[in-house]
Amino acid sequence: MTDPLATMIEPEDFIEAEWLDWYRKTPAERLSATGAIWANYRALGGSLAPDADSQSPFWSREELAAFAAEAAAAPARALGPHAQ
Amino acid sequence: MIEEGLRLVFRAMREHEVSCLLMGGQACVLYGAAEFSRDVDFAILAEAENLERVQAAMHSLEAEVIAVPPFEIKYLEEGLAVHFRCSVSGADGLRVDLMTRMRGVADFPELWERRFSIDDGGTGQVHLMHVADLVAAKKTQRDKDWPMIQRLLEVNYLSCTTEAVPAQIDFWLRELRTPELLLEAAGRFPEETATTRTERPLLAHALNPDPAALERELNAEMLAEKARDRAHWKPLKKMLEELRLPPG
Repeated sequence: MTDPLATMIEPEDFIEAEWLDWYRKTPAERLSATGAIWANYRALGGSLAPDADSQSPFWSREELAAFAAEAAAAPARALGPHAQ
Repeated sequence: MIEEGLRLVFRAMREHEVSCLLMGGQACVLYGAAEFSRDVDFAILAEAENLERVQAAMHSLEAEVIAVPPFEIKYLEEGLAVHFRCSVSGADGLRVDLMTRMRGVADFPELWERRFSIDDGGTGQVHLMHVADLVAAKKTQRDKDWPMIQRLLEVNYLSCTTEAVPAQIDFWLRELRTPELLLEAAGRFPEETATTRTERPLLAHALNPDPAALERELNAEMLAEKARDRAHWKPLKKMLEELRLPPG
C-alpha cells in the first residue's frame, strides 16, 4: 500500500510521530477518533467552557475570568497539548 | 463512531436545512491539524430565512445565546460571532459558535461552492469549509491559531500523492509555514515559486535556500498578520463593549 505521506523528504525528520499518525488518517477516521477522545474527556468531567484565552477578541475580561473558574471547577480541564 | 453531542448538532443543522459550513477547531480536526476541539463553529449564510432555520435548529438543541451579541443578522454581518450553549441531553454544555463574515475570507456563497463534504458515519454528510478558506479564517491575532495553520498546510502538502494541480501548488507556495516543506516545494516547483515570490517575498529564501532567513521572515509574516487582525477587531471590540453595557 502506498504511504499517503510519501514525499521527497522524510516527514519523520521534522514532524512528531504522533502527528504523522494523525495525518495518515482519513477525515472520516479522524471524526471517529476525535469522538473517542471527546467521550473520554467528558467522562473525566472535562469542561466545555471557552478557553480563557486573553488574545481572543470575543470575550471580556470578566467573561474570561468566569470561563477560567468554570474550567477550574471541572475535574479535568484538558487532555494535553494538542487540544484545540 | 461519531460522538453523541457532535452527532446531535450536525443532525439538527441538517434536519433544519441550515446553510452552514463547519469551520474552526472541529474542521481542523477533520483536516488533520488537531485531535480535539471543545466547541463547534459554523459559518452561516446571513439571510433571514436561514437565520429562522438556525433558530429552529438551536431550539431543537435547547441552545441559548451566551454573552453578547444577540442573535441578530446585523451583528453577524458586522463580523461578530454569536455564541450558543446547548442543554439537550447528549449535547449538554456543548457550545455552538456562528459567524458570517471573517477578515480575509470570502462570502458564504463562494465558500459554499468550494465546500468539502464527508460522511459523518452513517447518518448524513458534514459540509466543511475548504481548507484554503479555513487557513484564511485562522489568520488571527491569537497565538494558538498559527500552529494550526502550519499543520493544516503540512497535512495537505504531505497527503498529496498524485501529481499536484496548479491550484494546490499555488496554495502551498502562498501558505506553507514549515521551512523544510517550503524549501522542498521551491525545489519541486521553481517556476511557480519565482512567480509567486512577487506576492510572497520570503520565497526568495526558499529559492536560494536560507533556512534561517526563511524562519525569520515567516515569523515577521505572522506578526504582520496578527497586527492586521487586531486593527480589524478594534471597532468590533468596541461594539461588543457597548453591547455589554447595562440598558439605560
